Amino acid sequence: MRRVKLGNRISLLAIAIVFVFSSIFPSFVSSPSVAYAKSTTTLTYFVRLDPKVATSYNSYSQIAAYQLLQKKLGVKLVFKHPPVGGETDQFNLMVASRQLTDIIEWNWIDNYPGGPVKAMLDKIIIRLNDYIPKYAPNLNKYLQQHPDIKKLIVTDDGDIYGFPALRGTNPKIACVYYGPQIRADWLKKLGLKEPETVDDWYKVLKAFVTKDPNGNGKKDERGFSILRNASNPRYAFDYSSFLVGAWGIKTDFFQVNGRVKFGPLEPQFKEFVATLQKWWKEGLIDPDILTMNQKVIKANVQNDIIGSWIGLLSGDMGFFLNLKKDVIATKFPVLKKGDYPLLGQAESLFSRTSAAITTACKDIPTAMKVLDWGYSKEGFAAFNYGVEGKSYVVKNGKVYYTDEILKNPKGLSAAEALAKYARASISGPFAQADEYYYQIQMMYPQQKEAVEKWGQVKNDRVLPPLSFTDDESKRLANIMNTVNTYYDEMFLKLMTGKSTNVDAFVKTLKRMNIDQAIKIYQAAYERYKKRK
Amino acid sequence: MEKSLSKPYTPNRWQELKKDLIRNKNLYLMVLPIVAYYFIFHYIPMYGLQIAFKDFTPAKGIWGSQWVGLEKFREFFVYDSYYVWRIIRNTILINVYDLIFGFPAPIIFALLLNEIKNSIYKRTLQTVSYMPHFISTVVIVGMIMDFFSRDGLINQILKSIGLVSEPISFMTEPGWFRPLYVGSGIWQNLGWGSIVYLAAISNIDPQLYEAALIDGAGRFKQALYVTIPGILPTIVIMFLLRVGHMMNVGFEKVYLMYNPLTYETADVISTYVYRKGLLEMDYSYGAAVGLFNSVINFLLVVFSNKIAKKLTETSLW
Repeated sequence: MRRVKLGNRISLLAIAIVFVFSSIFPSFVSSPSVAYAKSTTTLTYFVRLDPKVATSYNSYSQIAAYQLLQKKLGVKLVFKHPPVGGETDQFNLMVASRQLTDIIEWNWIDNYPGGPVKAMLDKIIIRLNDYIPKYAPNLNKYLQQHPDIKKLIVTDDGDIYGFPALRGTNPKIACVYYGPQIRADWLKKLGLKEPETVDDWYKVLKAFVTKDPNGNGKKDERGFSILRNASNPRYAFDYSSFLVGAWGIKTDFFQVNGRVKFGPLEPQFKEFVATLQKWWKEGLIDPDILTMNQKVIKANVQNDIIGSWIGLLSGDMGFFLNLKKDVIATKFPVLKKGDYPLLGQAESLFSRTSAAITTACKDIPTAMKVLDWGYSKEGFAAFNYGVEGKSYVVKNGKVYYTDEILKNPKGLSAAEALAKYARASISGPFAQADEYYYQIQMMYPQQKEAVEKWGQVKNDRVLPPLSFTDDESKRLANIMNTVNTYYDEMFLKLMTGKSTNVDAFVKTLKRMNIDQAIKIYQAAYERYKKRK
Repeated sequence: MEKSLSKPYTPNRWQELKKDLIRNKNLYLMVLPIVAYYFIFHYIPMYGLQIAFKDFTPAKGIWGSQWVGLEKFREFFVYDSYYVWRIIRNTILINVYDLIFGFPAPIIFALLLNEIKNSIYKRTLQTVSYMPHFISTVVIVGMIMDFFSRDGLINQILKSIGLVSEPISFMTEPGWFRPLYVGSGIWQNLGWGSIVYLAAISNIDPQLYEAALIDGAGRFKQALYVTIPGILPTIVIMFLLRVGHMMNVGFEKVYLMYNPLTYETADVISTYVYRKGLLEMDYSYGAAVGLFNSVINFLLVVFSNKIAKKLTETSLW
């Protein structure tokens, strides 16, 4: 008996060893130099798998637009998608192990410490300026026609490091997609008007919570919640400037008349915090935003528990309109009736993501050709509209998406259905078409109205995408990592009234050298203004 | 063997080894994979430790990066001084609580199980108590979140028996983090941890119990004077092994359970290093703090081993 058992154990051990080794070896075998030696027209491409694509496909190579691209250019693209949720980890591991793909699509400004300048210094990606006139005529032409966009995508030295994902050319419709939304039927039931000022908001939320707008006889209503970025309420305010913008400040860095400022250091920040505290104390804010569970919040909106929230135009508002919820958008709140909002959500036309060519790429001309295709006439059509006759038709010279996209028989949302054919619903190396915004993002009249309302902001205090030097970014990372942890913690404490001492908060921020960080931002902003 | 011991150094040493290798080749073959495992996965990667003293950039690689001496340690203790003591305190406190409440739990459980004579009942109980050990951390934390949320099971129960009027938000109160962390850990590992003690108990000579019985010892006295001294060496060894992990807290569970509101009591060294080292790509910083952590752990084991040797004559070496 004993012997048999021992034998069993040894064989088990052997199997275990085989497993361990077999899982190590393939990673040696598939090292880039071996894989590409066979064919020069195979390119590897690292890009996150968008959930809208993931509902139908598991690789971008299955998207019709990319199949067309591969056929036309005679290139084979091998997409490497990091697991959903583990994108940053996977990217950092790829960089640290230097097992780079040929092309990497990434937000080099925010998600590479030190930004694109550092990425080039680290020899991760290459500078493209010399190659662009020769191998990327379409991008070249596009940038010459749109100097304002060129200013957004270059570094301070004028280096181009990637093929930018652009939100078309019309900031009025393309850059506005996140803001306050409210239940119109609740307002009607309680005889309230759409809130405009901060005071209006307070009255509306108070009525939502104390009366019974959902009519279930229970006092279960919650006034205000956060959908996108529920995982960290501070980011939701950073991102949209909802409420805080009424005082003309942002919660993070911004500028007034050329001087860079940091929200918490401004005197108005106290008033913003006091308002938040009042809302929280009187139970107007959904307590679930503290446990950071977006699913619970979304379910509560569906179940008529939550009356207003900040969320996305298509992902959230479109989702609820699909469910026949009576949702409308409201303008960003102001202090005095009739004021024009100073700050709200608005991104720049450059979505901060770029497809860059890495130092591991053996065939730069082909990679350039592949990425340049998105800015050509043919690529523009394929990436934005998909396949003619299937995902879109042309009538009187105008493009219309087909019913398969807009009223998908399989129950996919328009953006999900389009993701099978085009890349328009995801940012990528091309400029998005206006038709996409008008027909997909603004399918419902409420969404069209939302873009108009949210677009009514000045937003001249928002900082453009800046780039920092190696030294600056190192110091900035040191300071901001310390600050961000503390700020995250204190923001929630201030909101929930666990701490009321804004002065002590500011004092600690100063001890953490926030002033130095502001100086670094200021210097980078001065350089940005001098960009050509 | 006797011979070689009496003469500590002989030119024949290699021959002795060769002879021994041939004689016990099966044993050596069996231990080889384990040695290879430690060599490949624990010793070879150690050369990477040097990045703790370098400003590591992937472009230059481990060898090519510039030496910066103790700069990264200074960064940890001086620049991040606002957090350093907090995360060290949290790390140690969570472990101390775990040691005080978590360590004795499986021992007590094993002693209690040992008193159960009905074997079917005993086995069922044992199997049930093992179960949570096999649930993954992600699921465990999901369960904790559900049970302890504002409208979760625990709040419903507390409300229905009238203990609280307003639901307690367990997950966002810094004061609740440690009890929840340690408590769920006990629940998860109680049964599994008791196995080793049950094994030790079954090794105790039954004659000792008979002798105790003749001397008039009841069941409680038997446990006190026979069972506990009988498993004491096991307890000491387990304790020493536990102390070796003093400065490590399971990163996964803390990371999944905490949020900015509970950083005050929940942020530990490993989570802080994750945020700074991996997310901010400051690899050298992560390595430096990891090294610091390991050195402390090492010292703790050596120190407690010495004390254990003095007090109980049982020790790791």
